[in-house]
Amino acid sequence: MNAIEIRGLTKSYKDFTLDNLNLTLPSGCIMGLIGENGAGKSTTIKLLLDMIHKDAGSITLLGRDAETELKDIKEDLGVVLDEVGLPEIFKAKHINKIMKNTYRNWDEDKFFGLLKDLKVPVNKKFKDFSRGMKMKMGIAIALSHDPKLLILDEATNGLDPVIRDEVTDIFNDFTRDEGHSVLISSHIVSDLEKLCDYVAFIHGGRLLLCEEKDVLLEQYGIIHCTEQQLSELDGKAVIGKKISRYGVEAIVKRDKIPAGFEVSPTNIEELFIFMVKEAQQ
Amino acid sequence: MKGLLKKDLILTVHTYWLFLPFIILFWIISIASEDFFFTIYPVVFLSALPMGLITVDEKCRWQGYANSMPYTRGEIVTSKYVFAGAIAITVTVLGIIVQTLSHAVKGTLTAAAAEEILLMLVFCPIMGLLIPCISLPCVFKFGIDKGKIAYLLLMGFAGGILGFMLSVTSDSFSEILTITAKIPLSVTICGGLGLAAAMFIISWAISIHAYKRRDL
Repeated sequence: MNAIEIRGLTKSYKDFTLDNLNLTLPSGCIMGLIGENGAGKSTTIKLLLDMIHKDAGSITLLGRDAETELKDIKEDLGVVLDEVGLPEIFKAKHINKIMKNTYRNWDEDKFFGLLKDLKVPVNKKFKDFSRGMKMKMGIAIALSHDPKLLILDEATNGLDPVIRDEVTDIFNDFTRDEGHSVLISSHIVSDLEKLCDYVAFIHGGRLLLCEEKDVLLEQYGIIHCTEQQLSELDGKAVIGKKISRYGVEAIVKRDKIPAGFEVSPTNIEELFIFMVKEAQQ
Repeated sequence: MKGLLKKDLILTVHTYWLFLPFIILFWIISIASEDFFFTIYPVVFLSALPMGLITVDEKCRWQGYANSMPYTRGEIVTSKYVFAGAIAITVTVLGIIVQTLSHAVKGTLTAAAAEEILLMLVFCPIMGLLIPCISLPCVFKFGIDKGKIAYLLLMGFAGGILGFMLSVTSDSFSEILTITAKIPLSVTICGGLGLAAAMFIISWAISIHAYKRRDL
């Protein structure tokens, strides 16, 4: 059973269209949804959660049809949005009272245990929390009702490196259970590179790529050459290029590059930047 | 829906607790002046609470967050209507108790006074639900900012129509009042409660329809 299956998902606005998105997140994996600002990441997540209505397509979450069973599915979803939407005057005890009466599997001990581990103050009002504390509260809530799928929309943006590292460890622990999956969206590619098993690149409302991270890093590399050398290569080998007066830097498919070229390892961030620039041309 | 109602109750207690002394003051004035207006006014005063709660929800982006929880859009809407109904019923009942006790203590609990107190069963629910029944569909359809404008425009329009009708039909209105004064109290109470219930149900249905179709 896949954690998420999206087929032909489309949503049109006046000046933006999420166009025919097809995406699969296998169970037990972490997928990074990577895209620049305005690429369609939040639109995709809002469509998954039925915060906005799709124009076309289908969504299956945890093997169930999101159109007819979403309320039950949400019992197994842990969601952290870019802003944790809790009223300012709430303290941890208020949040616990509400969530206890919201989720069937709410675990009060786990909630307060997570708050203690994450050093989130329990007697402070939510309005007095820093951004990092608010995010940690959101994560504690998301993890305290035995979710099977975590959906995180820009949840680590604006966090300092120490907290980002703590949060990354929490997500890694979460997916030790094979039945647990994570979809995390961000434009900070370096965060996702450490964390994710799968990466999906989204740009201008279209999916450029969706693949296992390790496969991508094996398949693609970076070469430095002259323009003359570049022109001699198979066009299908070159995914994206940057031409400067010092030469050409290009992302290439390793298996299509002839011997004699030194292909250096690349990273997800470089791959993404080159692909987006190529798509923009 | 229990979680949503608890959330609104916690918010109300922490944010709007200052209303309580005012309500008690109104009741005291009502007892001292023997004027029913001050008994009925808290119902109208508190009827704006559901819209106030939605304002807080939108400000802190609770609505999107709540949508990620196992609640349907219908439940989110219904929780506000249950809250509005509970406020109207509670303040009506408390107002009736206050007036009854006041008359009983003063020894003025006559049949006429009892009839007046029972008429509160007609006026209070209608007055207590009128504002939520008009404002909530506007807010669920358009959001709090545009919803408030839509609500004010509707109220302005309705007020204009009513004012025009009163000015044109003043003699007929006096006749209507004379006729309605002869209607038995039980029929008036049932009619009034029926009107309040109909208003409530129609508004609730419109709000659910509007909110289900809205992109958050």
